[in-house]
Amino acid sequence: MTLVLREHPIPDSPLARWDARWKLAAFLLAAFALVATQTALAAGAGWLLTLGLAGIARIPVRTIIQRVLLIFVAVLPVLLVAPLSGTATDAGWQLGTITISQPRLLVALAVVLRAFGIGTLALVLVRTDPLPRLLTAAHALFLPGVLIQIAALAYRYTFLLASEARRMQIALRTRGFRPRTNAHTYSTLGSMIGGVLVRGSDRADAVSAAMRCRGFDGNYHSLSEFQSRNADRLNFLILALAFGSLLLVERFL
Amino acid sequence: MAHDGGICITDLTHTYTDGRRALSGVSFSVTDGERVALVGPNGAGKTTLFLRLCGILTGQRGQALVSGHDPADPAERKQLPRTVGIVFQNPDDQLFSASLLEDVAFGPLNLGLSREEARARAEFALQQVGMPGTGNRVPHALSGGEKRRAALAGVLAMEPAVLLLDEPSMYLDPRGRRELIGLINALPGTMLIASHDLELVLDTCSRVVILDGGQVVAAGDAVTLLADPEIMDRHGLEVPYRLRKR
Repeated sequence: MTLVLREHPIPDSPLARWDARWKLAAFLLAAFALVATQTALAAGAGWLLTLGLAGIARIPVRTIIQRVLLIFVAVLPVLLVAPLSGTATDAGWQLGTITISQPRLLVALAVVLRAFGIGTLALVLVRTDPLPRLLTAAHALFLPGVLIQIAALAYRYTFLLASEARRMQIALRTRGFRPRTNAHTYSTLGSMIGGVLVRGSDRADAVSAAMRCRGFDGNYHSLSEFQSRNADRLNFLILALAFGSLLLVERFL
Repeated sequence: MAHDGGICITDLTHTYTDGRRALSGVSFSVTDGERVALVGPNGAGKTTLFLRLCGILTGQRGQALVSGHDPADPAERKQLPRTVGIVFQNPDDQLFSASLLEDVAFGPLNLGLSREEARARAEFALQQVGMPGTGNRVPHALSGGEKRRAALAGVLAMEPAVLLLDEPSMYLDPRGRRELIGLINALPGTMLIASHDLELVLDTCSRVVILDGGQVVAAGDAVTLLADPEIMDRHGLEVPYRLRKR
């Protein structure tokens, strides 16, 4: 039985053909620009730009919605709590005993939109280049080899651990286990998680041995090669200008 | 003593840090180009012996020579990946890169080969194991048999003089197993194969060493030894079907 998580194909697009190093550098700048936005309007405009990139990358709308919803669940607490933490002098609305602060609501909205923008950027990045190539690009941009190795191994073994956890889940079900809110359930789930961790630790030792047997000396090597074209530099400039302009417009208008 | 491309083990002992003695006075040799099987029940010490031979487990110097290198000597241990390849029991331990081609090229790149050479070797190794054109696939999406063959390709790409195969037919379906036997027989070099699959042993090795309780209890011609019901039974093994007297 082979249980695996799905690996997504990379559709051909101008972004998929963009040199991964220039793309990574441009996306990093874009992410910094998004983080630096102060208003919900600018953050929203930034998100629209990233959605435009997702469109160019031919990422299915459904995928984008799914990812954005995931991010929305993660940042929902900010949206719920921040508007309630205003001061008495803030403009806003009164709902019974609850006061909703307008400035805080706008701040929360900006946070949510920034998260959407950065999440969409990350989605575009991983859907336009295979991970080994992105990691090699990051290495070319002076990210230390050890971090690259950790990221690559984490990516590889996350799938395996998830697959193992799923197998254990099936094994539990076939033996009549149904999760409920009782001590037996918590104890069983605890044992399962512990089992996965222990296997993970054993596997780490085995992988380390296999790497050393194949001459691993701590340095990161890859088959990926890059070739910069003028179009790659131009794309970088366009994206840097777009997000730079966003910040400038926000500051001076 | 041998040993340009061979293995020579002399009175090799290994005790784990918890005091458990896994190997005790193991001695045998494999000549250059010979294929020898290492058989024995679970816990006999086969994997420990392999880990000692490839330098992952360290011990006393002078107890083993693999292709002329002592795995217990730190300076010589660094040379081992160039000459000794090991395929582990669980291929998931050995396929650690994000794509198959990167994984197979991992060893050649570590040996200092250029990208072009490493790519060529990786592509050839994938072809050798019957997986041409699969370089872009991700290891976690491979079937058990494909993982096994991919792990073997990762080792073959390093062109080792000595190959250690730990349970090579595990996870393979009958067709995959037949293909593996053909592949092993076609490969040059010295091989030490640890396996419970005695039919595979008969098809690939001329000589057998039986390990039990960390000791060599018998060694000799594969057909003669594996056909001996008394020896086989005493050490938790079974005479292979084709050697049984009907």
